[in-house]
Formats: sequence, structure tokens, C-alpha cells
Amino acid sequence: MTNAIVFGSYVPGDSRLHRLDPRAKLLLCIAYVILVFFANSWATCLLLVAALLVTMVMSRVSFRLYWRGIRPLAWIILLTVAFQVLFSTGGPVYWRWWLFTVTRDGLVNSLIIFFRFMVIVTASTVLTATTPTLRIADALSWLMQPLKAIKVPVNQITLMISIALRFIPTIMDEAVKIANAQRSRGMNLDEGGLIRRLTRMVPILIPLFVDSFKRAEELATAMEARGYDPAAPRTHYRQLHWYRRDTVSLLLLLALAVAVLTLRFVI
Amino acid sequence: MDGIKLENITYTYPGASQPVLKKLNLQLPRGQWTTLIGKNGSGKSTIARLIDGLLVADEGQVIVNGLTVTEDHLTTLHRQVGIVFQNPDNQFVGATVADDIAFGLENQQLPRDEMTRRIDKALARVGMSQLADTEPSLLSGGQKQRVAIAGILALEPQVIILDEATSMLDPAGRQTVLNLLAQLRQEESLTIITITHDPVEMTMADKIVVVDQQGIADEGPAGEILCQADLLHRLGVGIPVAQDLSERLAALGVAVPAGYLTTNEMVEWLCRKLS
Amino acid sequence: MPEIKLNNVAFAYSNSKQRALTEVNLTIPAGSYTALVGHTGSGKSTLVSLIDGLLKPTAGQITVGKQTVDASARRQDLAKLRQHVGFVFQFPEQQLFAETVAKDIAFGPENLGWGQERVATAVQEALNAVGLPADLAERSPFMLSGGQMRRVAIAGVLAMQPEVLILDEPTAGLDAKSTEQLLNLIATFHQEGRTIILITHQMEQVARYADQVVVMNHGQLVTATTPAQLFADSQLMAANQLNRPAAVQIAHQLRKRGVDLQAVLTLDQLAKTLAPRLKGGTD
Repeated sequence: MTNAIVFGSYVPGDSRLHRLDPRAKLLLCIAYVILVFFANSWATCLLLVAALLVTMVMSRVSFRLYWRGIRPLAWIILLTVAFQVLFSTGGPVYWRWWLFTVTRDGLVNSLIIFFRFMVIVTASTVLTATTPTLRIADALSWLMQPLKAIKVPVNQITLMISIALRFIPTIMDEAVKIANAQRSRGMNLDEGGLIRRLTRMVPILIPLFVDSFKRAEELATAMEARGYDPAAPRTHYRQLHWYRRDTVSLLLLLALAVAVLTLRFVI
Repeated sequence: MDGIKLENITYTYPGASQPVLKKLNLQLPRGQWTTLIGKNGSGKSTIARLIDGLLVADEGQVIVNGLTVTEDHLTTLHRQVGIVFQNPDNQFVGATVADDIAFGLENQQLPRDEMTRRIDKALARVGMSQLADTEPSLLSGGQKQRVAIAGILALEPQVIILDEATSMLDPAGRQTVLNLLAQLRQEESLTIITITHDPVEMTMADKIVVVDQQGIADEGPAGEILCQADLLHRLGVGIPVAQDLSERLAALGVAVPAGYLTTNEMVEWLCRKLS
Repeated sequence: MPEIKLNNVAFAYSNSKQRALTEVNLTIPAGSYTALVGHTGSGKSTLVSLIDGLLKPTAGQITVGKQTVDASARRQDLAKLRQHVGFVFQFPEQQLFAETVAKDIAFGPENLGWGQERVATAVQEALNAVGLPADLAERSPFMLSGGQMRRVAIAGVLAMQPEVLILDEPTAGLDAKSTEQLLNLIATFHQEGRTIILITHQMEQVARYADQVVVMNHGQLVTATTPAQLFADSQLMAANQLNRPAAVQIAHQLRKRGVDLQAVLTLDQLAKTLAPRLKGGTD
């Protein structure tokens, strides 16, 4: 059984944030991310961070759990920032060695990138921590509805996504089982360089593909037997309910947006 | 015409040189429990798939409760005939138990109120009302198969087919599924078809059909088939306990009663002889 | 021949506070046929994964032959356990991957670093041992029947010539005939001197083959005893959700009805016990 905490896993709870309609949360998250790109001063940044901290507290998910969710991405963030610091040019030069230069603009840019990265990752973690993946898929499907007008098979895509999500734990378990079976036959994944390690994945990947294809085939038959017809319309059991609190949450975000944009463009 | 009728059925899998079924005729009366037995690859599952319209026969016709199986009737057919497959994981579509039961109902385009009503009822019937919001990864194999059965019951079907549905379960899971089936058979309008190698499951049926060599090798009341030890050995299926014991006693020169005995009947007989 | 000894072994998964296994003390004698029973999730799989060095104990010591591991063991130490132990997983046919049967069976021996000739001999012997014809060697394992695929997978483990063979529900999903054949095969491996550890839900298999049966429940070892003693203890059986084998059940019913009967484990024994008396009665 694998229940490793992965980036973006749901933390069950009953906070105000948990109870918000997933569509509201998705819209809030998207709008917030857009706002982040408008932040260019200490004031705007602080305002956005403050708003994020308030939501995090409201979610009643411990900061330790948030950190665990964000930690796996910390390396990528640090790497990007380091790259930015060492290679960007412009402004007074503070330090220079071989190909590397540290300039004022470089420092400022990397600070901004670090801020954006952290805030965006945290905001999406707040969304995924307070919303079951399935509900996010529902919200996404709602958001994509307009695409039907240009003949995008939105309903099939959403069904596909939700089935994929449903099968992730099953296939993870299978992968662990196959890896154990091959380790038991003396396979050693921990030695050798990258290429050797990758070729050693073959005894795991092939059985996993074979198994997944078999699953897909059986699943397709089972779905057909239960009357699924991709071309036919379907009704939906999962329904989303929009309450006043959802409207209020959007209005609050609107206020935040006005504040940030005023700070940026007017003052 | 009530019941299921297969007339002169021939079916060849794409790419196969030999038909798996040839000029097969079979009649299954409504409201009965029939078990199909036979070697692996003998065509038992093919019969199940032909009845549900998942496969279309090369020749002959299949009639389910008066409805001829053709492309045009598939929607009705999938509602009337439900199949529970072998692997509990690979037929669980929904993200939760309730969602999975809803899947078939969504396909039938039922309104939401009706869905909720039917899901509640189906969950109660399989004894899983408490687990409506549970994710599949937290369910045992037996529980998943009961969800699959609930998904079919919610469609208010006439025929339910279990294609080796208990073969991947542990004994406890198998027992819960079999108990559920025993309970369902009380509803006289429901036709149950099981495909199995399990002797306990075979003894529960009203009728057993032996599928062999592209057709029906034998059929009859369960007791009549189950006492043919040679046949069961040849097919590679399990032998009911009482039959197994009686065969061993006979080999040791004991005069055993002819015909099929349940385990309880066997115990009765032994008691009479020994006291 | 290696003896297996577990001394106060505990195990907890890193992301779970609950212990998957607590204070297990167990000896599996060399050359024994040990059955491991208990309901799903009782800790059977964790226990054998520890014996195979796939998991590292969080406390206690595990000894297989001369090799002992504990919580401080390194990866290489754990791997050394596997030199003695072969593990046939549940539905092992799902681990097949190579283009040919021979290459798949050779995977284990090659990982052991054996020379070409030795590997080739081991593959031949393993194919032979599981009763598959030699001409199957160059076929693709994916073109075989389910029963044959399972045999190939077992051959892949046997080829490494383990002295201890762990089998997790080896007959799951097989029909009665293939089940019988496979059980006979495992009995042969045992007669050839290997230690067999069989995880099973089928009490008939325990009754027929095992000389020791280990009962697990909620991550704890309930008892390690003989099948006869286990099946005689109806309370213990019920408390651990175990079914009695059919013969034991029938004998129990007969005894309740006043028939004086010695303990039997299998239908074969039951028939042999009853036959003389039944014949006496009729004549």
C-alpha cells in the first residue's frame, strides 16, 4: 500500500475554505495567480502574501503539511533562482567570476521570481489541500464548458481525467509490487550511472505497461457493458452548488485585485 | 418470450482459425440461477458477452426476454443485462462508491433525484450504505465486487451475469458475494448466470451447463451434473466436498449412495451408517 | 541449509504511525513446509518481505542462515538475505518482461553475476523443474496461457536456486486442475530439500502439506503450531477468521452427532478412517 504524501494531495477537513464551491476556489486561484504577475513593489507583494496567509490560516491545514507539499518543489525553485542570480545582467555589478556575474538587476529579478514561484505554488497547494482532486476535475469541466462551442469533447475529456485520477493509486501499488518482485530477483536500482539506472527500469516498465493495457481493455469492456456510449449525452450525479459564501469570496478577491492594481498603476 | 435463448450461435474471435462456439443452442428460463462450467477458453465468457451484446454472433441469434440482440437494442440490453467481471479493480470507474454506482445511471440519462434514490437503495441491498463516499483504494476486493453488483442492481436489470467474479477474492470476500447472490435469487424475476470453477458456487445454482468443444456438452439440474466426478475432473473444475469424500470412500470399497449429496446430506448418511 | 529466525521483529511504514508488525518471534526450521495464514491485511506479506530483505525491520533481528539484519542494516546486507530466499509474488505472471521465456528466467541468475554457461544450465533446469517443455524457451512469455505464464514466473525464481522459497497465494485464480498440479510441484520442491513458506487462504492446503502453521492477526504473531493443533482449537480459528478444512468440519459434525472419531485433517484421511467402519456396517 502506498500512501506517500505527494505534492497536491487533499487534506480532509471542514474549514470555510473546504466548504467553498470548487468552481469558486478554482477561479480564485487562477485570478490570484494572474494578480501575482502584476505585483512589482513591496506593497503589492506584501498585500498578496498577507491575503495568502489569511487563506492558509482559514483552511485550518497545518503549515507543516503545507511545507511538506511544497518541499519537493523547493529544489526547482532554488535552482531557478540561483540561475537568475548568476546569469542575468544589468545594473551595478557586485561580483564577477568566470562566467558568473552578480548584478543588482539580477538580484532583484531573482527575488521577484522566487516570490512568484513560492506564492503560486503555495496558492495551488491551498487549492489542492482543501479540495478533493475529483471536485477540482468537476470544476475544470465546468470551466471548459464554453469549449464545447468549438467542438472540444469536454465531457469525454473530463471523464478521462477522472478515470485517470481514480487509477493512479491502483497503478502506483502495481508499480511497487512489480519493483519488489524484480528486486527480489536480484535487480539493483541503486548502482551505476543514469543510463544504466534507466535501462534497469525496463523490467519494471514493461510489466507495468502490459498491465495497464490489460486494465484499460477490461475497463473499456466494463464501461460498455454498463451502457457507456461516448457519443450519447449523459446526466451528472455530482453536482456543484453555488452559495452566497462563494459570491462573497469572489468579491473579496475583487477587492484585493482593485487594491493591487491601484497600487501598481495609479499610485 | 421470457428467458434467454441462444439459437444456432457460431462465433469466431478475430484472427482465430477455429470458431469458439459452433451452432450452439441454449435456453435459460427466467428467474433461475444457471452456472456455466467448462475448461479455460471453452467459450463460457463468450456466451456471457453475446448475451449482453458486447460481442455479435457470426451466425444465429440471441434473444433476451423477447428482445433480439442487435445494434439497435444495445442501450436497452445494457440496462437489462449486467455483468460483473473477474478483476474487481478494472471495472470500478467512479472516484467513490456512490459515483461508481451512478456511472450506469448517468449513461441512462436519469435525473439526479432518481439517481440518488436508486443509489441509496442499491447500496442498502448490498449492505454498503456506510461506505457510499469511500474511495476504491480503501475497499477490499469483495467490497468492490459488491459495488459492481450494486451498480447493476441500480439499473433494475432482469439478468445479472458473474463472470468468474469471485475468483480473485479471499474466502471472506467470496463468502460475502455468494451470500449476497443467495439473497438476490429470492427475487424470482432476476435471472442469475455465474461462470465459475468454485464447487461451492456451483452447488448454489439451479442448473449447470457444461460448455465444451464449441458447444453445450451437457446440462441439467445442479445435482445431476455435480455427481459426475469424471466429467468434473476432465473439465478441471473443483469437486464439491461431499462428492469428493464419497468418491474416496467408493475407491476404498464402500457402497456409497448414487447421485448427488449436499454436505449435510452426506453427514446424515454417515451418521445413519455409523450409529 | 539455512534456518530462519525472527527475534522481536517490528516494522512500521515510514508514513504511518501504526505498526504493520509488532514483536514477532518465530523460527522456521530448515527444510520445513511452513504455512502462513491470517485474513487480508494481517501482516503476512510484511513478514515475508522482511525475510526476503525487501523491507528493513524497525526493531529486532532477522537471521537467514548466517546472515543477520537489524534496523541498522545497509542495503547490501538486506540483499544478502535474498541469496538464500526466492519469493514468488501473488499473480507472479505480471512480472514477466523479456522477449523470450529463457531471457526472462535468466534475469535473476544474471543479476547474481553468474557466468553464461551456469545461467544457461540454470534456465534449462528451472524450465524442467516447473514441467514446461524445453522448446518453450525461445517463445515470447506473453503468448503463453495464464497457467504457463505462472510457471515461467516461478521458474524465474527457481533458477536462482534459492534454499528458501516463499510463495504468496500461488494458486490464486487458477482452476482446480492447475491448482492441483502446482501444489504437487511445490511439494516436490519441498522434498528436494527446500524450505517452503506458503501464504494461503486455503486451509485444505495447510492441512495437506504444512508441517508448521503460523497465524497472523493485526500485525502480531498469534501462534506457530502444527495444523492438527490449530484446527482442533475452534476458538482460535474463529478469533482469527479462519475456516476449518472440509474434512475437519465434517469430522466435527459427526462427533457432535455422537460418532466417535479420531482427529483427521484431509478428506483422504477421513475416508480411510471411515471406510473400514462403513464396510463393517453394511455387510
